[in-house]
Amino acid sequence: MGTPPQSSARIARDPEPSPTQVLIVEDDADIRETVAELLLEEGYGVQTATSGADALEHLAAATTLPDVVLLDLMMPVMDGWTFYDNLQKETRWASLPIVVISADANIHEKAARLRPVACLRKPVGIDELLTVVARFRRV
Amino acid sequence: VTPAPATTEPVAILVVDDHRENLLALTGILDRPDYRIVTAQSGGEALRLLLREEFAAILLDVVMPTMDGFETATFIRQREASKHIPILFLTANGADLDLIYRGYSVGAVDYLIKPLDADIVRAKVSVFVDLFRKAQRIRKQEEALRAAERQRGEEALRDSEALFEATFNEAGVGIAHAATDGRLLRMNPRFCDILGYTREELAEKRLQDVSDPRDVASDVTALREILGGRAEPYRGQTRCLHKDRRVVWVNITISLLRSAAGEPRSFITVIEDITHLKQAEIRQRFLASASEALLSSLDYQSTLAEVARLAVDEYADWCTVEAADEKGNVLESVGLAHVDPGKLELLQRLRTATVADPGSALRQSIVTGTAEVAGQLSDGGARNWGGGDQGPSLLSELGARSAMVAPVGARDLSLGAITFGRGPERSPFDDGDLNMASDLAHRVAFAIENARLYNEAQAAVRARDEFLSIASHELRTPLTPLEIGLQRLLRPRDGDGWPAERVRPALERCERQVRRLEVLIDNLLDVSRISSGRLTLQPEDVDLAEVVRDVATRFADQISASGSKLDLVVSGPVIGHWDRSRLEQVITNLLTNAIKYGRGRPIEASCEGTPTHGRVSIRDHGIGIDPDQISRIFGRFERAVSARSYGGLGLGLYIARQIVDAHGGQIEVESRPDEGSLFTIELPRQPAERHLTANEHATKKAGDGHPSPELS
Repeated sequence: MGTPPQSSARIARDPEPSPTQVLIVEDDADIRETVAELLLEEGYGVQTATSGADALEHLAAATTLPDVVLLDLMMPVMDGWTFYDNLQKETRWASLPIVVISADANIHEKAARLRPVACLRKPVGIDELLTVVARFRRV
Repeated sequence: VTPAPATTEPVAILVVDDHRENLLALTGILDRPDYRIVTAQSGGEALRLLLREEFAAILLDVVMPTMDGFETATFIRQREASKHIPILFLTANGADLDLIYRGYSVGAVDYLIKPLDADIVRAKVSVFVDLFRKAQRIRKQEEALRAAERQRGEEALRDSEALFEATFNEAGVGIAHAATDGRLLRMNPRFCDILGYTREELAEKRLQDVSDPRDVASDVTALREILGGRAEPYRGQTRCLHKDRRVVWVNITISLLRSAAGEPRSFITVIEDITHLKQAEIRQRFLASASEALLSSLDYQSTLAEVARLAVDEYADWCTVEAADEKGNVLESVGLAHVDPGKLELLQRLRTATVADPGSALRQSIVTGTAEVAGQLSDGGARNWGGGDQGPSLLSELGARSAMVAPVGARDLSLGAITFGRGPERSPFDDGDLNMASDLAHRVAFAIENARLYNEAQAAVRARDEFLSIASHELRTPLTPLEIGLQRLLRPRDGDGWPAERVRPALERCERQVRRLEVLIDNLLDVSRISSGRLTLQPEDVDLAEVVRDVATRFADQISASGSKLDLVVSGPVIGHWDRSRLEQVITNLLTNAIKYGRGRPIEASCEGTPTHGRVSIRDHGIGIDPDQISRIFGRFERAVSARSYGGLGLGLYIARQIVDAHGGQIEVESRPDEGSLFTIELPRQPAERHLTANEHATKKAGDGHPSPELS
């Protein structure tokens, strides 16, 4: 289970034995890789998945759950909504914090069902993205 | 003394005397062919004779036993019939003035003094006979006059009767006399005619028996009011029932005939058949309400159902509205109504039978575009309506007697038909109805046309909104890595900043995003060009095989990144007169799809030539396309999969087809879900001039499918 969100004021570059884990679920390779590189540079642990189905496999195999999931909505194979529905079937996944990232103009409306902790509309700026993710940084 | 004409009947003269010799003498004196002398020897005998006949004069002896002359005269004067007969007394005593006065007082007119002078007697008697004759003549003239008058009166009466009879019989309105209880007593031919009964049949009925059941109560009330003197004459409109059960609308006037004592004796009823006017009125009312319904909504399906329902309010017993395609095939029933809901199912069956019969009035009307009335359905005419073997029996079960059909069409385009039917209660459809039905059918056609245009406009607006939302999504997606990538590079860093080996991949990624944006924008501009017919080709001699190889090379990285592998089979140069960059675009779009929907499985591309054509095939083994989506995929903004799963503008295949079309070529697809798709394009090596110069083709293609959204 993820640790409770924390204030961004706590951002620190302290060496961490177990860095905060971020799961990126995004079909667009360039976006996926850019975000992953950025977060790695910032000291996060990053896992990536190309679709909802891919992400579920990841979660099933993982020993520790990610602290936050960055989720795209429109993806082939399994879209963001279906992924969320599958999360709800597993008690230990049901309350994973989700940050929705989408280019959709009605992102808040479309993501509402997923009860995301934040919605970021593409294109996303670095500061915006890091501020949101920092809320889930481990103590 | 003028002797009376021989033809004259002798006048009777009564001579009364108790002396026989006197009687003989007087008879002798007065012996003339024109006199008839009647004698009596006593007053009593005289009175008896007077009872029997009429006398011109009485010669009466004064002195007689038992009843003297005066007494006798008194009696004579007392009786009405004899009171004016002149009496001449016979007396011997001429000097006795008393007697004379007494004689006058009892009514004598003159005296004959004994001994009688024959001449005087004759002279005096003849005076009175003359008087009598004159009186008699006057009386006869009077009688003749009266008789003539009576005759004239009778003639006038006969004339008047004949006049009445003629008026009654020939009147254009129905006239009937009825007893106060309504029993019909006498009716003219028109009255019988309006109601369809013979005089004998009507004589068995009462006024209220020929009323329409719906109007009986008010008709009876009217009769009571008239009897009560409250509404007389009564005038109104009411419905009667014809012998054949059809409703007859009449203007009715009822007045009351009273006896001399003022007692009501009979009703005089005048009826005028206004069914025709009433029907025109009902027809107009229906047309007005139907037109209003047609204007009230753009949902023509529900509107036409409403039109059918309005038709059975008062105009017809049933109504159906059918939609047809341009070949006259009836596609669906959009309206169906019967005044009796219990007969809806029967009507449904009749509809199915007539729709199935290509020779039915309904199908023929749609094909020929003409309206038609089928009358006499219950009387041998049912075959004309069609519906195969079942038709006539269904019509008869429905109780249909008259039906009509009008085609619904606009600008030579057949859209369907409306049918109406009537049972025996209503008059058969006539030319007026046929005109109305045609008029209504035109209005229906306009309503359908308007609804279609409106829906198309709505669809265009929806398509545009959807497109704008997708375009915005697609344009924003590459901006994310671009923005993050650039911001990363711009961030202040400790020490020497970014090492070159980390900057390069970041910049390359940014460049890729810029190219992605370029392609998107080019596609958008192409759509805009195609919509406005400005897609122009710049043909030159091109080797199609080389084009395919070039594009494949360019995609190498992307293909391997997707986990796939390209198997390229190209045999020698395939030269044609084509627009090189446009063909690159087509192959790029097909290859992009093969990668996008290929699930990382192998992709095969080939290029070959025939003497006249060049052909390129690109096959993937990915998700494939649902058979019911295949017809849509070349349309603008279409994709076979949900935009939720796969990004993209939905323009790739659309643009590819437009370019291939502009080259006079063909693009085809074979696909099965989960097995993959094979796209094949075939291009003539020498496209016809018209394909390369004018762009009507592209314009025309762009015009079908969805109307163009504005891309500004």
